[in-house]
Amino acid sequence: MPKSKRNRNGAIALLFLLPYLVLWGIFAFVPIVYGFFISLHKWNPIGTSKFIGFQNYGDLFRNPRFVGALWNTLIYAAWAIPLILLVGLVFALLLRRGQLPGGAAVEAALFFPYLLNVSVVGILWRFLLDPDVGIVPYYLRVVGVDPPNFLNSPMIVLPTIAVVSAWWLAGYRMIVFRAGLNAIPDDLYEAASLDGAGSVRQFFFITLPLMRPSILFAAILTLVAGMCMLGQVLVMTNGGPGTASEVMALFMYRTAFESFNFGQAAAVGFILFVIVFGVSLVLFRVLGLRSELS
Amino acid sequence: MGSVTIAGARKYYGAYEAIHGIDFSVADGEFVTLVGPSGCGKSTLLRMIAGLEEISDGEIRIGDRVVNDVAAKNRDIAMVFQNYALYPHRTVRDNMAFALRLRRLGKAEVKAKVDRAAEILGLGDLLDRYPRELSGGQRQRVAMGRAIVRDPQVFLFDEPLSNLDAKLRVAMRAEIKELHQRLGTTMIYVTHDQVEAMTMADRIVVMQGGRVEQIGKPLELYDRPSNLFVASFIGSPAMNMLKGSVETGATPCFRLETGEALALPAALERPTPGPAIYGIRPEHLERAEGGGLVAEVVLVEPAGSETQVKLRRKGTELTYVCRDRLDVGPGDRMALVPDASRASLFDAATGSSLV
Repeated sequence: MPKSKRNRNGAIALLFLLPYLVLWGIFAFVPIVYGFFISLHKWNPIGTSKFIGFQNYGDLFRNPRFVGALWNTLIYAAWAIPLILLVGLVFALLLRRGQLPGGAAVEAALFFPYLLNVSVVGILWRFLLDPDVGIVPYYLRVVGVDPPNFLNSPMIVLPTIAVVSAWWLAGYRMIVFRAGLNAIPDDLYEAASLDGAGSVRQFFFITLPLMRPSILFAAILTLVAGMCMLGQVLVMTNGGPGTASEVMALFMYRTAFESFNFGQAAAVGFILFVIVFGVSLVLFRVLGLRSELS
Repeated sequence: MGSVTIAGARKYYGAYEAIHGIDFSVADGEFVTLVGPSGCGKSTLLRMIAGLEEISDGEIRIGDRVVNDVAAKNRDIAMVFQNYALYPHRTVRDNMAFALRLRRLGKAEVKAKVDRAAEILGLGDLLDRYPRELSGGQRQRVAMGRAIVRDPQVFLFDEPLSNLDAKLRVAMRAEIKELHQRLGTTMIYVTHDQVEAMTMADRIVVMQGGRVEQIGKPLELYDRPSNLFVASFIGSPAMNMLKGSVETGATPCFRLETGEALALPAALERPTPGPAIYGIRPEHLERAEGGGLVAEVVLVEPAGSETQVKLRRKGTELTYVCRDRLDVGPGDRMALVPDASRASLFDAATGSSLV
């Protein structure tokens, strides 16, 4: 292709991309850069801000509360991300294989929580888990188990919130996985079964590799939801007991709107961004965006 | 032994009966095609043989073994699918080696078998490519390679050529037939293309509506179709069908609805009077100087080796094929007579052959 024609095609492609690029610039790129800019200042939203370099970052890593929040976030993410993805995947597989009686009802029931606002989810589960009036502790007592104080025990508060998040978010992941599964032609499974592969081998040889794009999409969504979780802790525990469930997003919120230290809050936000961006890049690298099914 | 016996096989989907008690057998090393229009149950029957569909009733045997309750992977059959069903994320070599690795064959043995199949099918240079990097014909060959490496008792083909263009289809047709001659393995081949069925098979099973209409060698089906459906389905262009009735008496004949008399098929031994349908293949019509069936030319299709002429007479369409080059055009009139020694006759009510 001659160079002039290539340039012209490139320009046309850019024109088509322009509306998205403008919105992406305004709502993603500029805020990230501006957030980083703020994080380098002792920020005063109504007056003059002083440039302090990376001091906010240094202060954060010397602050045990921030390190605790970072640790809490990682613990929560380590519970929530696999749980949300696994529940979504298991139900997607069961529904595809038609092994669940009343599959449509199960699908609807699983997806329904995703339609709720996080405040509703938080308040609902706070009641369900309430040690005195909650239905979950009640039934545990009925079957002879001494229920723990789910939201007031430092050891189990984060896994408990992860389970609530799975209840809330797994339905949407299931839909994403269902779309990925539906794109895999049945005759691949038939060919594999004739080749001698049982269902476990078919899952690892066909399903998982061919679902990579939908796994990548669901994994990144869940990564963001896991690392940036705020609503659930804000409503259910407010970071407690003590700071046992204070995650980075809550720490950032408090730093900004309770301590009014906007520069440091921006630094927390930028650290979160770097973590999510870095892990996403690794996921892109490992899973790849391209679908093998065409 | 790679014989396949189907006895009273039925398939129900709920209350709907898709296969109505089919019986036939395929001898060891035979090439049999199942042919019929879309929805006739040929693919369902093939999938029942493969073990991909349950058998609702009846029995299927491969060799001496009843396989009704045997899992697909244990039936010792290989199948080539219409859409190739190649594993898209694996190379050609991995696609072909998958079944062998599952059987835990040694690396050297797997390589030897894959290389041999690749050599048979001319895939040697493509072994490290991915399916997306191959043309339709190459993919089809890989699908066959995947079947060959397993050295199965029976090969099943489910419309394997229908995604290829016309030229490639003809070439692949010859390749599959050659492969059969080379391997000598039993093959059951499903197609809706009667030309494919005619040119490839030792025997053809014609199906319609979940039932077998006729089983026979290709030319048997062509020359002596057992009913109207087989007569009109087998052969391209299709057999001409003329409505009328058989007249007995001093000079028995077939009287067309339009009044003309035709000589009864030579094979008809004892004509019984009554309404019937006279079938004559387009190439078994001959030009007549006078008399016969006079019809108006609608369309002339010269194909080089033969000429196909579409004609219309008194509301009936006729097709005439001859090896000569014809100097006729639309609007011209032609007189044709059927070769009674090659004609067929069918009962007007049941459609069954009377000869």
